[in-house]
Amino acid sequence: MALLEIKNLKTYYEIRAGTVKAVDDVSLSLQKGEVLGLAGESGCGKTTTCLSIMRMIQTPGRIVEGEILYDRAQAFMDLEGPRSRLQRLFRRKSEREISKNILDLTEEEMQKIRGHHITMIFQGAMNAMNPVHRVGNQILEVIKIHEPETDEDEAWERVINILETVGIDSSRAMDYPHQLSGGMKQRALIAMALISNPDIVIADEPVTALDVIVQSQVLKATKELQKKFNLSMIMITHDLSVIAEVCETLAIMYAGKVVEYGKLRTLFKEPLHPYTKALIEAFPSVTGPKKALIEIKGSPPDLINPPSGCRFHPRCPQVMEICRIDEPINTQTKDGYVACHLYQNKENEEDND
Amino acid sequence: MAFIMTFSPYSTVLAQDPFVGGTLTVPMGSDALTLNPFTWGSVYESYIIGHIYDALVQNDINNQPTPVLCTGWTHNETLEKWIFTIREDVYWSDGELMDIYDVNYTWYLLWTDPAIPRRSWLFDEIFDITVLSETQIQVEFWWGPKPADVLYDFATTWIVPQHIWEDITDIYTFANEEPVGCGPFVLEEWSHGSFFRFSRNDQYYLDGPWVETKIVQIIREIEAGYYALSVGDIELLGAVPPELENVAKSDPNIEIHEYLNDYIMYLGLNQRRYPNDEVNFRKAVLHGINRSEIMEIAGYGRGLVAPASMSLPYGAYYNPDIEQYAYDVALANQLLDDLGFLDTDNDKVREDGLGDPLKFNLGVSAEYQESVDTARMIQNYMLALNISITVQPVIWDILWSTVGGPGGSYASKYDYDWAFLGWTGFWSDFHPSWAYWMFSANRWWGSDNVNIPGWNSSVRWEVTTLVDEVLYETDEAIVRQKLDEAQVLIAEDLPYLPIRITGGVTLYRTDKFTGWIMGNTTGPDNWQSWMAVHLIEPDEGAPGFEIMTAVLAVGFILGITYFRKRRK
Amino acid sequence: MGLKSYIAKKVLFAVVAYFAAITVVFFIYHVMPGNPANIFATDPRVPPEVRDALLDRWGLDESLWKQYLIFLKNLFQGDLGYSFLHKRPVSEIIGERLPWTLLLLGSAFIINAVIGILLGSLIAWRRGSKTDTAFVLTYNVYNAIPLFFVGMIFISIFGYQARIHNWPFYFPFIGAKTPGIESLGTFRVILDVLWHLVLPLTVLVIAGILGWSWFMRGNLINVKTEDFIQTAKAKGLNDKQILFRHGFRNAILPVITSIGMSIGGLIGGSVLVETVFTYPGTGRLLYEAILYKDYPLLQGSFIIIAGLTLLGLLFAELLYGFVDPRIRSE
Repeated sequence: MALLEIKNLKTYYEIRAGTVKAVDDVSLSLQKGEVLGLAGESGCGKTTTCLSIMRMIQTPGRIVEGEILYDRAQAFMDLEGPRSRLQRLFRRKSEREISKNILDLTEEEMQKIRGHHITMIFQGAMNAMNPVHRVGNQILEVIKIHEPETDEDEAWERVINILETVGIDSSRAMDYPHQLSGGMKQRALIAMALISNPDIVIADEPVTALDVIVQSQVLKATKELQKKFNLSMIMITHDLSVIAEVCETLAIMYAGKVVEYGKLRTLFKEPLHPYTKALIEAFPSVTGPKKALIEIKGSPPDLINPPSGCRFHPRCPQVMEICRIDEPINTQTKDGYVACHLYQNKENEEDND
Repeated sequence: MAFIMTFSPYSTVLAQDPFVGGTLTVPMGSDALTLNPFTWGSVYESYIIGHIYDALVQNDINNQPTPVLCTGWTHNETLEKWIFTIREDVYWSDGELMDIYDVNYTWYLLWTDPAIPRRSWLFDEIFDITVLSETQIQVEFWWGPKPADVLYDFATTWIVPQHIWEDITDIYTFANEEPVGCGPFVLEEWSHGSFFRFSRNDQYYLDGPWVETKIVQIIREIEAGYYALSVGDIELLGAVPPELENVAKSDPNIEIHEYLNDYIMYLGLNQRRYPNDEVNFRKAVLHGINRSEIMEIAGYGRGLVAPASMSLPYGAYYNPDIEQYAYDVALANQLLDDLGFLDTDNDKVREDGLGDPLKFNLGVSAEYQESVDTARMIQNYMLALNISITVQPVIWDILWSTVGGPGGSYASKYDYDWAFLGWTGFWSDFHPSWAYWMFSANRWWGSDNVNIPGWNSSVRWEVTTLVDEVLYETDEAIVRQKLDEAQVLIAEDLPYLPIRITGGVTLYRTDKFTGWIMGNTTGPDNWQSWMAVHLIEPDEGAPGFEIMTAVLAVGFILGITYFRKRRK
Repeated sequence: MGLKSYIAKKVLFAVVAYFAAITVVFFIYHVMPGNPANIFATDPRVPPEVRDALLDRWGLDESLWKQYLIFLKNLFQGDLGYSFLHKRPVSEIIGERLPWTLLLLGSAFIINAVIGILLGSLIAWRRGSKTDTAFVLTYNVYNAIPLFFVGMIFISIFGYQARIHNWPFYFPFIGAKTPGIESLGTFRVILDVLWHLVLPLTVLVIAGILGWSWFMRGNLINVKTEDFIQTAKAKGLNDKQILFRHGFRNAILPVITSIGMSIGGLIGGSVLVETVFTYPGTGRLLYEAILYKDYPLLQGSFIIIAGLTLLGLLFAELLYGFVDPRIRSE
């Protein structure tokens, strides 16, 4: 059983102009210790998917359909902390079965998971920490919330340790966020996400804002931590070089749908979906021969009224008649799947044979 | 219009002395800034000082003199020498006895220092002051002033204790915060901006006052004052606007007292301009104005229609045998036709003898709604006479300087046609010199320096001669005869077109205190009243306060505990 | 740079600013037409001997600089001038009204600020809900109601109707205390003062509380859009924790500045409330001083107001530095 399984997730934003189908029928799964990369253009639904996992979608957004099954959900719900009188008044029956579907949990139950078992690192670390609290205290806060009975000194020890693990000197722990450089802030955020030994860490463009050298340092540290703690990670990025460094599996998203999913090596070596091909080819190689930059024609589609049929068809160099009419379904591949008519028919043909 | 019967306090027959006690609270519109009897500036200050200090003579509600600190007075035939005999049982509030030397000191101070702001004009006319004995003092004037002047203006000077004031280095800047006086009340507390608290002078040498404590509470907002009156926090309320008067009518505990002011609103026709200087024109205009209607509508029924002689109609010197100028439009039109002011071009406006249309500007103070309303009514009345009026409301200061009022800037002096304003009646109800002050061409108000209406007919000189003679006349009969003559002349020549005497209303409660004394021109809160007003029943303490606090406190604590329990 | 040097710097600036302010006051009053020397010459209330005495005391016939020094010297001795209208020293006149003003306006201010801020925070957190909409509507409506009208309504209900119908409690609406209450002991005096305080205080609280809520709500809505709020949520904090630990402390920064600036205004009193309730505060005092052209009183008041305003600002700045560490590093 996968640690985390997303089934047919649909998250829409209802705005005045219409309904933005930001995540439209997405299915993914994550095993323990797996690092899944989530790539795609801006606005393709990567962040929304992850926010849906964290259940941090705010109005006007809404998770319309789907399931997110988190295998270890039940394990944490027995630890019932003190509840306020009001909560006790409104609690459900004690024999209630805690479902694995995160979407069924109450907000209080979700708060136990967030920050503790499933954590998120946000992009743009400039303002991601509260400027009026010290960095160390903000990291300490995680322990205080989720493990309140921890001894003060012990907790602080853990904070120092995790800071050193990410490469921040312990003397900086009492600094304020504005006194740290961009890279250090990012590392502090990573520390914040890791301090409670989470099962899943979702990283949303964690290194995009950093320069290349710091980028590589942070990535290296991340990789080490992941190996050390056997973390499961979802790494969102549009930078394939980053994916190449850390991820095992990769899901390519386009216009709110997953168009291709599979092991990293496979996708890099033999990309099937035209979009994947274009992405990989668009990326210049440092070591390979010099090539002209190949751009992907067109611009990201309107998510309120997405193109009919396959959403990529207006930009697809291998577009066919059927692409305009039918939406492709997921076709099984060697170690994943692809959603493209090119391969859909082939499979049918093979079946028919 | 109802007037309360007046009576002197000493004629009130009581079966026994009234109860001593109670707290009488009255309102005052603004704070008094100083209690120095020589430098006070506003009526609020003189009101407070009047509680603390006494004078030799006090004027009652009919402005007749009553001996207070003195037992009596005499004067010689020519009215130049006056002798006052003082009482021997008067004590200052610090325990010292008041003696003749205090009187001497006070008068001497005022006589020798003309710069003192509050000083009767008669001190300039003094020739000498002499202490005759331990109880008698004589003052000698250069010429014999009227008894009304001496008693009203001179003998009402407050007497201050010599043993306190002779030590004061600078009386101009002395605030007199803890005054020592021999008056009916002793000042216990002055909370600036808030209230004055008096206690009765229990060593007072006259009967009364009967209230133990008097509090003068400053209340700035008349509506708040009305609420205070209706719940009994204060006992009376003055300067009441008509809408509150209506509300008071339905309250059985509140009585309404109407009084007149010594203030006459008049229409001034600028007689420096033709045809305002035609006496028959002025008469026609006055006949054409319905003055009682103005009083009813613009004045809300308060006050009286003013007599043509510009004198208050209930005084000792009033001559009722004068032309009354009843409202008569036909007569007015007739007079105008007789003057030859006809409407030659059929535009509904008459032309005067020179052929100019009878169009006038009527200046009025924009700050008083009553005046503006009156001006508009006059404008209406003039339509029936085919006279066209344009009402010009302006700021009081501008109006005042335009008509030539003293103290104004003279940029556009006398540059007006008609103006509607008012002025004091110069105490015409009891003072024989009133006509001199108002009409004599030798006195500043009637002189060419002021002379607001620009009166300059031959009658002006006749009246001047008469009233000047009255000033120095000692024979009372001749004084009356000459004043009667003068009033007839004035009513015939109409230097001013008097419209109405203003009036006001005071509300007072009747459930706790009784014995109020009121007059034609005074409300209930006057010196005579202070001597008479007393509780109806002996006072019980107010019980509710402690209980209320306890209830509040308990309620508060319960509320908090309940709230906290719910929150948990 | 730490907290201590920050405090020292701010205090120094405040002192310098105060000197600048009173110097400006001084020179304006002396250079403009209507300066004290002229006032003495033309004011009919001032007799010649007094004029001479004061000329001596304040050195008014000497050079401007010398006058300034004398002015400063007098100021340090607590002498703010002499009012001819009241015939008393200015410090005395203000001194007896100031405690009442501070009692009334100070309490109103504290209640308004504290409750207003909390209320604003709670409403901001429920943005878009019915509570929020109700709040916005109420705020607009209630801004339109004039203060004295509210005051009169309170007088009518709690001062008048309550007495007439003998409700269990009613409140007085005239003055700050009952005359003669001192004779009943200190406890009764305190109760009496509080009892008289209720109505004017309620009017002021009603007038001010929604303003602070509105302000705080606006700030908090802005703060809610910040990134660190999202981080906090991702850490698993519940709404209350996010609001008070993260949102509040950031949103309160402009409010602190506002509080500091308002403190100087406290001494100005509230003319409307003081008139309607005849509360002996400084608002009415200053209004009358302007009406009667009592320049010395105005000058003295201005010096006090300037001082209090700067004190308030200093307090705000210090508090700000304490709350927001970014400021300290500059």
